[in-house]
Amino acid sequence: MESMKRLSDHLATRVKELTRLREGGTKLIGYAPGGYMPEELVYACGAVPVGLIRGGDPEPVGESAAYVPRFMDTFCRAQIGYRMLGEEPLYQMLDLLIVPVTDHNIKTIADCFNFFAHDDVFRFGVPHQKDEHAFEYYLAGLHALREKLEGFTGNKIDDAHLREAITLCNRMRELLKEISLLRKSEQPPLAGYEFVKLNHASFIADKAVLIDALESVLQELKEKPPSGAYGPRVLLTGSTLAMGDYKVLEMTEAAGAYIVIEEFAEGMRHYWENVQPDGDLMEALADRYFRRRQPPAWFRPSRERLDYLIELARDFNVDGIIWYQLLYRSSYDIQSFYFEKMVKEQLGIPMLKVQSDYDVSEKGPLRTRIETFIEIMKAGRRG
Amino acid sequence: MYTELLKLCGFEPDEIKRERPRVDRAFAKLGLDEEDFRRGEWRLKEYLDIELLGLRKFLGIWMRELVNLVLAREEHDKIVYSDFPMELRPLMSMMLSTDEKEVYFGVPGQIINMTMGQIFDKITPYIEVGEESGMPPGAAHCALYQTRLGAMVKGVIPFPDLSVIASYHCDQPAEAEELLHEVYGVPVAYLDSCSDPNWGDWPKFNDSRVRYCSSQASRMFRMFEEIIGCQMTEEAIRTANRSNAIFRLTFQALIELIGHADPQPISQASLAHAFFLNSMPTRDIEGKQQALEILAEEVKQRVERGEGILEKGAPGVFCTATISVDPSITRMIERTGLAIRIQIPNWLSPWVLTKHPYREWSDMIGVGPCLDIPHSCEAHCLINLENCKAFNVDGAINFYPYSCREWVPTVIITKRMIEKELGIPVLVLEGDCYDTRNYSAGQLRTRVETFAELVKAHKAAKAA
Repeated sequence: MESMKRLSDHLATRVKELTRLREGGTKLIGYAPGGYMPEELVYACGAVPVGLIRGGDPEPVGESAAYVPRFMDTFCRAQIGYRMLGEEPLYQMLDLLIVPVTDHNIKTIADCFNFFAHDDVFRFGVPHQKDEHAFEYYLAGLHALREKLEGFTGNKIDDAHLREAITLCNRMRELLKEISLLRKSEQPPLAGYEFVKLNHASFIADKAVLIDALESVLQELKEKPPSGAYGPRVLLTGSTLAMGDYKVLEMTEAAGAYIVIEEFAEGMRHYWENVQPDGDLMEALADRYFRRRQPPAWFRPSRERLDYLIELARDFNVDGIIWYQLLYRSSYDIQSFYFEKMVKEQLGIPMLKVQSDYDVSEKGPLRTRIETFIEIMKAGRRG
Repeated sequence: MYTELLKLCGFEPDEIKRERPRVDRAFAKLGLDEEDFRRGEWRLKEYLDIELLGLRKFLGIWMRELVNLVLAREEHDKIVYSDFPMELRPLMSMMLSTDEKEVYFGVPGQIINMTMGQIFDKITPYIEVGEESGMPPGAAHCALYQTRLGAMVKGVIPFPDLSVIASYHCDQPAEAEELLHEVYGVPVAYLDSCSDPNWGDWPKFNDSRVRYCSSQASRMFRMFEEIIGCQMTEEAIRTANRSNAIFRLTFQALIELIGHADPQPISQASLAHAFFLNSMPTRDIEGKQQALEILAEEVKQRVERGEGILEKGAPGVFCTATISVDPSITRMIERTGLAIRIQIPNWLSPWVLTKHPYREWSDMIGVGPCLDIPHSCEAHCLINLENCKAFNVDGAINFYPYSCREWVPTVIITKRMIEKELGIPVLVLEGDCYDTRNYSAGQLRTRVETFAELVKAHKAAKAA
């Protein structure tokens, strides 16, 4: 598609563009992509947000061993590796890193960037449940972040700018949602792999360029004739789906299945909910990013997320679920144990749990397991 | 069969006679036999300063708690569990608000570690069942929580009516308890907070964090009252606070005494039995305090007599290896000729004893997460550094427990900080606080012996 190519070209030159912006005095604000950092605040103070979502490469994971022991989440180790290796330009050009502390894996990124890279890092907390006190705590964190950003950039975040940023980000989410929902059709007009790439682009691309591209993509997809293919439909879920970590997507779709919906704690932008810009805008952000955001596996009660997954599986009429987790993300490992039972009981479809440490040697066995799983789904459909 | 073992654990003959039916039932359920008792006796004599009455009394407390735990369903209407790293004060205040006969209150993971692990070296079967029950092997799950889950699933200890867990020190307790809730229907009350201090914040208070944790403490207390059917009492809170403070201060003084003594008067492995009582609620408050005072007096006498477990002038190290399931690593380190001056880092932190403006009970619980070590990597590392300075050590052994994500960032940062600021050698030693399968003292000895030589040479060079 022409629009996708345009977006891809934009991403290829984005580092140069960001370098120019930075030289012109614009601050680049990196953040951990767990879905709890409102980009709206960054835009409203005239800075540019950059999600640290690179993953899937073995080298940074190996490099991280010089800074942290092995027993933490692969994606988080990779972030430390990318920063310390110095080969990934985006990781070297940040003026400030924002880390919403969701668990100890993510917290470790902040600590290592602080100590080993001497970066300016700002943390704020994400409680693990959603009562009114938790909401207040998260909101207090957002206020502290706002204060930090204002001090850091020297620009006051006023309501007019914040509202403008909310409108911009809402439009981006609406478009992603509309595109994603097209996959509800019996013959999805785009592959899961393509949608994930669009989603990942939203962490790095200029928002105006992105929105323009997404609008064109949507139009093109609506006009696209049906492919005539009817492969098994898959819900892909797990801890982190990073930019560059496309092996499960590629293998699944190469084997003839469609990933029609994804749900991840990190690495994927959450687009189902928009900010409702009524009343206090900071509360509106907290409402969207904390209260209405579908929780990851470390939230309690864990049922909220699992019930949501069951609902997604029904809505998108999937034939199976692939649970893709990274090594040592213990919350996901434990939750998968009881979720599999729920899937059998409530949906009667198969679930495949796969795990990665971004190691090249995983690919062979992973492909065999995924292909077998897809054959099981196909057999289920025929039955 | 086990008389000699119980005697080593400070039991008097009449108590052994009186308790035999209960002990028989509990030990049978635990599958302990003659060979286990012999091994237990050997380990107590091999690794601990078993001649000290104070230590034997501590061992007795743990052994009684093991029996109480195993028989809890037979003997009580309601059962409440918690486990490390839940803070002791809220646990004690909840426990003391209940009738001793009606409600059993315990920390099964720690109890099993300190007895089945430390004494009998028989922890693995519990871990293996935990691994089959939702916390699989190879995924770096915390063996403390695998052990308690395994013990419940095996039917050795009962499932509780309520679990109360701190969900902020590390992620694993809450994850494991969600499993307990979803699969076995156990209600869980969480004490939540956020580990989000920025570098440079500590040891300042964050009022917002105190208030949030305080709200969660109130919520936890309410859930406890509803499920257990009791009311938290002022007297229980006062008693919990007072007894905890007295024990802590006495313990603090003992640590200072041991850390500054030359030669090192007792093994740090012995001290672990007192240390872990700081996270175990026991109704035997008097016995616990008495044991500590006896131990403190015995240590004082040793220091006055110039007696110790190492030669005078041995190089001193700071060591973070506080392993609840196995005393052999600590003893191995000491046997290489290194005096462990300070092993239990958070107990020397003056910040922990800092005065604060909060007076409401739940607020006081909320203060903990602003000050304690695990909440902030920076705090953790700085406290380690301060301990090295305070005890003027010649080297440091920074123990890294496998599977502990809360400790992950601190390991190499601590090493770099200490090496840079103090110019002393630091060894990172990998092991596990709760699982002995991944390492052995024999395997680690070569590295520690080499390190010991380095520390000795470094000390000699400094003196010259």
